[in-house]
Amino acid sequence: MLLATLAGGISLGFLYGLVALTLILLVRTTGVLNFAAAEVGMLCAFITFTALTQFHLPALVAVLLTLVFSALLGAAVYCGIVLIRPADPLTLSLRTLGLLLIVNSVAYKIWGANSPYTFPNILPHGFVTLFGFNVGYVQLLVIAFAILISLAVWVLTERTKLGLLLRAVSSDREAAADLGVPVISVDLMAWCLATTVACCVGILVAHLFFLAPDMMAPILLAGFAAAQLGEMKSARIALVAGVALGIIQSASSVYFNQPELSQILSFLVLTVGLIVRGKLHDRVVST
Amino acid sequence: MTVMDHIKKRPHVLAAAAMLASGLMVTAPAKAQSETGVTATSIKLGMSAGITGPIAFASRQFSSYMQKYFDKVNAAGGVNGRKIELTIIDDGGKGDVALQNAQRLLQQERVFAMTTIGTATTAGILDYLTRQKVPLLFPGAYNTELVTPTRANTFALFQPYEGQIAAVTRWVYKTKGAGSAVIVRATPPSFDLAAKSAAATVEASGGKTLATLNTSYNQPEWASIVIRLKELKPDYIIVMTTASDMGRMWKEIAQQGAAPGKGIIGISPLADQAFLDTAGGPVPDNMIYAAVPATVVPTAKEAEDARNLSPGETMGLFGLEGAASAAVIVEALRRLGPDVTRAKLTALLHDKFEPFKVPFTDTVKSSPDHLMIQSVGVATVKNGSFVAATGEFVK
Repeated sequence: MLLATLAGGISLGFLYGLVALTLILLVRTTGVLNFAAAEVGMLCAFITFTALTQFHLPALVAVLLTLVFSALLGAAVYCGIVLIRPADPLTLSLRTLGLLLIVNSVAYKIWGANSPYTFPNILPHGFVTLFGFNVGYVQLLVIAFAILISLAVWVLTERTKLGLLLRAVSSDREAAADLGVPVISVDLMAWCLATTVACCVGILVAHLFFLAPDMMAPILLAGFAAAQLGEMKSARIALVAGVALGIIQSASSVYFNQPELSQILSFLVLTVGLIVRGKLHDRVVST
Repeated sequence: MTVMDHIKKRPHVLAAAAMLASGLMVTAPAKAQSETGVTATSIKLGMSAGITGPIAFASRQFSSYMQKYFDKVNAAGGVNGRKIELTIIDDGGKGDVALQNAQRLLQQERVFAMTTIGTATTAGILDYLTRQKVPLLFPGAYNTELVTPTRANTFALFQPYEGQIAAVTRWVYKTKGAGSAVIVRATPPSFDLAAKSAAATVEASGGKTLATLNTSYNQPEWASIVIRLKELKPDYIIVMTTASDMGRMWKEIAQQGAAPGKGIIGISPLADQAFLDTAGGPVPDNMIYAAVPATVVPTAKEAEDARNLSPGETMGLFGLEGAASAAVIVEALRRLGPDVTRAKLTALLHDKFEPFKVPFTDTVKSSPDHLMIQSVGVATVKNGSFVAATGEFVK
C-alpha cells in the first residue's frame, strides 16, 4: 500500500509542480505573482470544452484554438491590467487578484449552473502499473509536461537571448529600457507565454478530475506552496516541492483518513519548508 | 375628572388610540380577505435551490421538472381555478444563502408555502420555516431533521439517507448474500446518521464493516481512497456522497482494478444519471445498487408521464423526484378545495391525506412522522443504464 500511495502521490505532486511553474514563469520574467493564473487555466478548459461539446470541433483543433485564445487573453490581460497604468510588481500582483474574481464570476455565470462537468476524453485511454498503482496516460502526460515545462523555463531564461532580455527587464525595467531593450514587447511575450502554459494546465486538470469554476482552488493552494518553496525562482525546486506535497497529501489521505487535512498540510509544509530554508540560508551566509 | 379631561391633558393618548384603531381597521379586513400568497387566481410557492454549486445538476433537474409539472397543470386550468406560481431562487448549495432566500420569499415575495432541493441547504432553513409556521412541502432533501422530531409544518416525501441506506443494504444482503463492507462517505454531518445506519444494517444482516473512509464534496483525486479499497478487498462498498463524486470514484476503481466482490450500494444520488455521466467508461451489470426513494427509476415505463414533461431531455432521478413532489402538492391543493389556508393544508397533510398514487410513485398518505412515503425502490445498472433491480418498493 505504501508504494502505491507513493506512486499516486507522485502523479498528483507533478500537477502541483506544474501549477507552481505557471506562477514562477511570470514572476521570473516580470516580477508579477499572477494570482489569476489557475483561473485563466480553468477558463481555457471551459473554452476547449465548449468547442468540443457545443461546436463539435475535432480535439486537436479545439485545443489549438484554445491555445491561440489563451495567448490573446494573455495579451489582453497585459494591456488591461499592466500597460493601461504601469505600477510596481506588488500592485500589479494585487490587480491579478481582481482578475481572479472576475474570471471566476464569469465562469460561474456562464457554466456554473450544471457544473461539475466531465471533460470529454481527448487523450488516449490506458495506464501503466507502477508499484501496484495504475498510472493513467493522462497522469503520465502531466508528469512529462511538467518536466518539459520546467526544462523549457530553464532553457528560456538561462540559455536564450530572449531569456536574457526577460531577466534584464525583471531586474531593472528602467535600466533595461535605457539600454534599448523593448520592454513592452518582452513583457507582452511573457504574459502570452504564461497564460498559454496556464491553459495547458487547466485542460489537463479538467481531463484528470472534472471541469468546474472552482476546480483549481485546492490545486492552486498546493501549487503556490510549491512555488514559494522554490523562492518563486527555481522551477526545479518547485517541482520537487510539488511532488513532495503530493506524496504527503496522498499519504495523509490514505493513513489519516481526513480529507480536510490535505489543505492544512499544504500550509504546514510551506511553513516548515520556509523555516528550514531560512536556517540553511543563514548557515551558508555565516560560513 | 372626566375621560375628556384626561384626553385634553394628554392629546398624544388620543393620537395613539386613533392610530391603533386605524391600524386594526386596516389589518382586520385584510386577514379576512385571503391567506398569504393566495389570490382568487393564483397560489404562490417558493423554492430555494442550488442551481449553481456542488449539487447544481440535481437542483436544476428537481426544480425544472417541478416547474414543468406546474406548467402542465396550469395549462389545464390550474388547481380549483388557481394557477400555481413557483418562484425559484439560487442558493449555490449554501445553507446561509438558502436562509436569506427563504426570508426573501416569505417577506418580499409573500409565498404561501415553500419547497427546497438540497439536503444541507434545507437544514439551513428548517428552523426558520418552523418558527414562521410556513409549510415546507416535499423538499428534494433527505435530512433526518425533516421528520425527527416531527415538525407541524414540514412534510417529507423521500426517506432520509439513513432509512434509504438501511433499506437498500438490507435488500442487497438478503438477495446477494452477506459479506464485508467498506463505507465511503462525504464528511458533511448530513451523512453521520446514514454512516451509522449502514454499519448497523451490515452487522444486523450478518456482515462486517471493515472501515469507514472519509471524502470531501467534489473531491478531486480518488486514488488515495481506492488504494485503501484495494487493500481492504471488501465484498461491498457502501457509498454516500454526490452523484458526480461517486462517478469519479468508480472511474478510479475501474482504473485501479479495485471493484468490490459483490457490489456497490448507495444512497439515491448513486441512482442519478450524473453518476453514469461522470463514471466515464462502462459500469458492469449488477454492480450498482442504489436507493430510489418514493419513486420508480426514471427509465421505467411508469415514469413516462414525467419524462414527457421535457421530451428532449434525459430525466434523472432528481427530475422524477421534482415531478413527484409537484404531483403531491397539486393533489393536496386540489383536495383542499377553494378555501386554501396554511392551517388547513397542514391539517390535511398531518392525518387526513388518504392514500394517493401516481404511476411513478409508491402510495402517498399521511403518517404521524410526516414522512408520506416510507419505502424506497432499488435501481441497478444494466447495459449502461439504470433499471429497477426489483419490482417492489422495499422498507
